[in-house]
Amino acid sequence: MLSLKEWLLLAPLLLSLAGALAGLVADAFLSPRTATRSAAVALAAAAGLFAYTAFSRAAVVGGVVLLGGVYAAVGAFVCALAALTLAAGESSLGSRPHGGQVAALVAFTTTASVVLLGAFDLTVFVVALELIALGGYALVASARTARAYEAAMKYFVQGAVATGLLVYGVAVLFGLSGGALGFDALGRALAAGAGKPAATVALVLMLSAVAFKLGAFPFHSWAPDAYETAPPSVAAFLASVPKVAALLATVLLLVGVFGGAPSQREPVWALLVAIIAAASIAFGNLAALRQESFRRMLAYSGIAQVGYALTGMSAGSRVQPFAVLVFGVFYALAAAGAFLAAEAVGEGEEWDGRIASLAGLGRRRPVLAASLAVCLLSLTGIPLTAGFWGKLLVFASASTTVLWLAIVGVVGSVVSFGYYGGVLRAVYLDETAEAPEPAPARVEEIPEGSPALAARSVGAMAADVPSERRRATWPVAVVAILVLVGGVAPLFFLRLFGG
Amino acid sequence: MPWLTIIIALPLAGACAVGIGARLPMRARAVALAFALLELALTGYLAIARAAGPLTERLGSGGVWRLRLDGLALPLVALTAVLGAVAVLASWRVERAPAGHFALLLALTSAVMAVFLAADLVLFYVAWEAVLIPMYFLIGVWGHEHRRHAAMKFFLYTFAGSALMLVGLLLTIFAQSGSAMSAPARALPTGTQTLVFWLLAAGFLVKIPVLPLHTWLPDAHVEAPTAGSIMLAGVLLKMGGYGMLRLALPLAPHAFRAAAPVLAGLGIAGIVYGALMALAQTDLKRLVAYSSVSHMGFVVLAIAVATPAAIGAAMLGMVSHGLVAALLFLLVGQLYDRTHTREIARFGGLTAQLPRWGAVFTFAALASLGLPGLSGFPGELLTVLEGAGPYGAWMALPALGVVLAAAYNLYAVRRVNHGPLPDEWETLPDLGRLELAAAAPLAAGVVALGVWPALVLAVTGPVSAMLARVLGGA
Repeated sequence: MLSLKEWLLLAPLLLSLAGALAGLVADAFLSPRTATRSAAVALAAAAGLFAYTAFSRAAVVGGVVLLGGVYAAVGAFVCALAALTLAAGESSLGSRPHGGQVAALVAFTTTASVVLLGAFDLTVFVVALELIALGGYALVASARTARAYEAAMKYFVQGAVATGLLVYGVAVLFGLSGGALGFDALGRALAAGAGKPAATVALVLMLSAVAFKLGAFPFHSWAPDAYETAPPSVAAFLASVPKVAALLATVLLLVGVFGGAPSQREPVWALLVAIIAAASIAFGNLAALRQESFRRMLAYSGIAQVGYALTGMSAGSRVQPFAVLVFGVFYALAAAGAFLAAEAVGEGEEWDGRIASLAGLGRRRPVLAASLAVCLLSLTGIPLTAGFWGKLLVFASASTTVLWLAIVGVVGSVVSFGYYGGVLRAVYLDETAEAPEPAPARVEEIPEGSPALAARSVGAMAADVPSERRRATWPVAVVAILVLVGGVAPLFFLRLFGG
Repeated sequence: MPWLTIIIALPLAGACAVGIGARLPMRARAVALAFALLELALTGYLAIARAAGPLTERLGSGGVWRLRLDGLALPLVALTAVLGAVAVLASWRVERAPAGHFALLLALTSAVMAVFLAADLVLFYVAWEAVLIPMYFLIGVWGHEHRRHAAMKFFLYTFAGSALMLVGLLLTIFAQSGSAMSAPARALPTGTQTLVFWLLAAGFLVKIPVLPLHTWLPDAHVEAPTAGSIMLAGVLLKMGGYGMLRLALPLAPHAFRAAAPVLAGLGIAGIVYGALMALAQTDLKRLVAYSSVSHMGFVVLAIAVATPAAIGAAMLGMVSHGLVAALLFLLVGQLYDRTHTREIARFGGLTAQLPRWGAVFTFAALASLGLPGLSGFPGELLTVLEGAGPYGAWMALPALGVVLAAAYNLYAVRRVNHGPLPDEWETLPDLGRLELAAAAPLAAGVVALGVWPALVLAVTGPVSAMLARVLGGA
């Protein structure tokens, strides 16, 4: 039985789960809008409760999941972020049939993410990862267009393979440890040198599965379609919350299970992770440079961003989970802000989703444009934004052991301004009058079901901004303010996450 | 009072005031000018107060907010304050979104001040990068025809350099297990010096810029609005030279000595190449931009020589170039405001129509060519004299650079000021009082430094001696 204290640590998790159920019920009996609202409110309340339990020490609840302390702090962060994405998507989700189910799925997936980031048992790890994936498939498909179904199918088929690898890896570990699946027991068994070659096989299998979930090269190909076709606010959620959870869980898995005895030389996975990191950075950046679609660019750049996070992990025995965590949190914040900006601009309605069509946004929607600019600068890693401190920490932890990777990382950051800056250029520097003709190939990629968009830029539109677009601006502004606060006063954030 | 913090915070507060005040009826430019003048007064006060020794400041216990004002920083801080005020005056008549323009200008001043005052590696880097953002928007939004391309190129070049510099700074932070910068910085272990030196130099040399890395400069300088060009040439280029002296030299003296011939070679190449390119230009602003490459070549050469007098000469060269280049860009900007062209071939005989402008332009050109009695002369002469020690006959090349400087400056004066006045310019108005007021402090500084170079040399003396000692003892 769980003690009272353990129940208390568990309470916020139950609350976010209740939010998911409330969303489902409200969607069935009331309206999609009410459902979205109730899920968002429940998630916000869960965030508050998590923030409260963050002051207690972290503890393993039920022997399988870490809660409280830093885990609760990150839990509070992801719940708040999920609530923000729902708030931004409130009007678009609320106006479509069964949009409330999407909100419920978001709350479900958030709950699974919190479980994942504290997973301290292989079974819990696998179950949480799969719950996130299931939620993800459905969320990608929730745009209900042919392209979305295709993207979801692609995601699902590849995800199924990754699941197979994961389960196979778990089976090997299960055999090696003689039946134990807790991280503690597994770590002890592997450190004692049980079945070296088999352990390496298990490591490669599990690392591949995790790399798939993170969207790291070469397991990334589902990401661009998924992030481009999901509704923008859902994409904001998918690109942020599950990613933070998977990153933190990966660090805990690598360090806790495969870390080996402290006396041993560098663990095998250090080099493996470094190679995946370098490949992700190189591929993601180069591919993002070529994109014309805003969200596709963000998706490819997300591959590179995962590469930076893995850079922080590749320091081997000197890895600092803290650095990866800070990077992940700040990345998620800025990425969510950027995707939410797509929602607020009105993708599919007023905007065809191309970067070039953002011309004139700076004049037409100054607050939204400035918020988007802050998020993009943070993703680039420019100082005075939170993203800088994340990159500083991961590159710092890499520069002691794998200097070449740190250099790959900073060069990648420079390249990334090519496309993040390209958006800034469109938003602030380009004249609206000369909005270029869209390339014919891109026209087909405009989501079906949306009215055919004339090829004109956002700034060229004369009519007033619809009120639901205006309402979707504040979550982006909130994110931007957090990014700036994190950039100017990082110590406040760092202490929050146990620096 | 935390004066150094106030020096950084004041322009930032001004930027906020201008930004917030954009909707109020008060004029953004008046508020901006008030803040810039206040900043100038404060800097003047500190310059006098500092006579007692370096000022240091620290906020909080665990943070990175450490500041220091010493002989290396003071001339550049003063230069920044002067140019900050001049830049506001230079953009007095900006029409496009004036509030944004002045807010960015003040934010830029604040960031540059933080670079020169930082006594912490992390703060130094943060400030270094923070300079990029206002400059990017100043070029990109208020610049000329090819502004978007120029803004992107400027950002990517300097960001690439500074990203490598970041790795160097991180290695330094680990090697000395802390991010505080002592004065002078303690030398790193010999084994890591070469790597750290070149990583840091990547950031500094792009910024100065030295020869193969300079290609962003002509584009950025030409496309930037006048105030942007003034800050870019006057202050931002100095960040590179300052970084070499503040960090690269004392942190890695061994590597610095090994690299000195390379640096000297790059400097000399820059002097000659910049001068030849200036000679070949048909665009007046581009001519001034290439003259910057040439003059900064002297600074790089002086840094490479690194005797106490040469370090003084480098500082003198930087301050002098800051004043002269700012004056030239100011004048070219004023001419462009009137004629909307920068093409040298379309000018001629302007002294007849614009006697005041012509006089100041001739004066600036003479300062740029290194006329004795004006600020360009002592720094470059000292550089060549000191360089003759280690590099002997090679000093004929910088001397050639001086001759070429005379050639392109006098060519510009002859083509623009003399000869027949084209019909199209017969109604141009001469400089107004405000425009003269912007030029006056620069001209006064050029004369003061030319007559009395000790103004800078005395301030930097102790630091130059200390740096040379670090290098000698390596």
